Amino acid sequence: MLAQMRRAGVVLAGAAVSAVLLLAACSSDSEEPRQSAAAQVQEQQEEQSATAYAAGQSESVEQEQSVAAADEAQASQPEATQSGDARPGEQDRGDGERVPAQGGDGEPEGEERGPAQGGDGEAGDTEQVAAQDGAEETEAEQESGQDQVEDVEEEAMVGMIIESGHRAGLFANRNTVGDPDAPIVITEYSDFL
Amino acid sequence: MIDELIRTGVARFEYSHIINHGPPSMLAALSTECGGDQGAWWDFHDHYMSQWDFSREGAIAFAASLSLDTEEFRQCLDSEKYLELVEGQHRQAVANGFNRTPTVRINDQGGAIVADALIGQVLALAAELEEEG
Repeated sequence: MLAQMRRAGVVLAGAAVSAVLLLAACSSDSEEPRQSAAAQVQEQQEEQSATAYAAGQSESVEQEQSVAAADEAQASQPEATQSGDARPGEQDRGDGERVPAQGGDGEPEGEERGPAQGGDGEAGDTEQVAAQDGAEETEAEQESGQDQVEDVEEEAMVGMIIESGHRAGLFANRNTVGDPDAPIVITEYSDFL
Repeated sequence: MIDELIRTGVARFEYSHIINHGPPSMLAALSTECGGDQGAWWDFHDHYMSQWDFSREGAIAFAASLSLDTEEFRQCLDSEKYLELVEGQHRQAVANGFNRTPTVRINDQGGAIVADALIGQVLALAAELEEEG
């Protein structure tokens, strides 16, 4: 009897231990998913942030790549300007129309082509202003030259109005009496003796 | 008549020196040119046409009578400032064959002519110009 009770006790004890173990196993199984879920959430957050950063990096990389492409395109503009039928300072748009090149070496040749943009364009404006200044100086020199000619003509006209005698009221310049532009010139070759 | 043509701008009169009588002629010519420096060219011209004093002192005295700067006039005479001009006009006249005075030319054409012929020639030329407009 006692042996049976011991066996039963052992069985119960074993059962209890199994139950405890089972409970312990169950409890450990329930915590692991929680931990894994939390870890998954954390990992997902980390992945999302990482993805977002990576995406941002990729976007910035794409932007940099696009900027670099734009720079390359601008750098290649002079070549494109020089190629084909495009004249200096213009870009061939491919549809037959030509637009002013930006930052090109185009020199302003008129209002139809529009002002050049960029540093070289400003230099072109400066050259245009300098050319205008040169033209104004040339005109000023021409005007001063004309003034000098007029002064010489006025000096040649310097004379006097004879106040007395039978030539009173006539314009005289040394040995000449009358209008210097008169069509008839009477010249007397004479000796006072 | 000639004066009227000159007044109306149709004609102008010029005088050119010929030296046919040596130093007195040259003195008169130089005195006239020196008087011209002070606006008295025609005063000296009329002076020498109306009197016979062709001395240096007489020229200076006449300059003084016109209230000219006699020192300037004297320096002009002594330096023979216009000698080259007078000699040049004389040479030009001789080169044109004018060895008698006075000789008159109209528009650098013709030779020695008398006053009546001169007036007639000038009037004829003025009429041609008027017809041409």
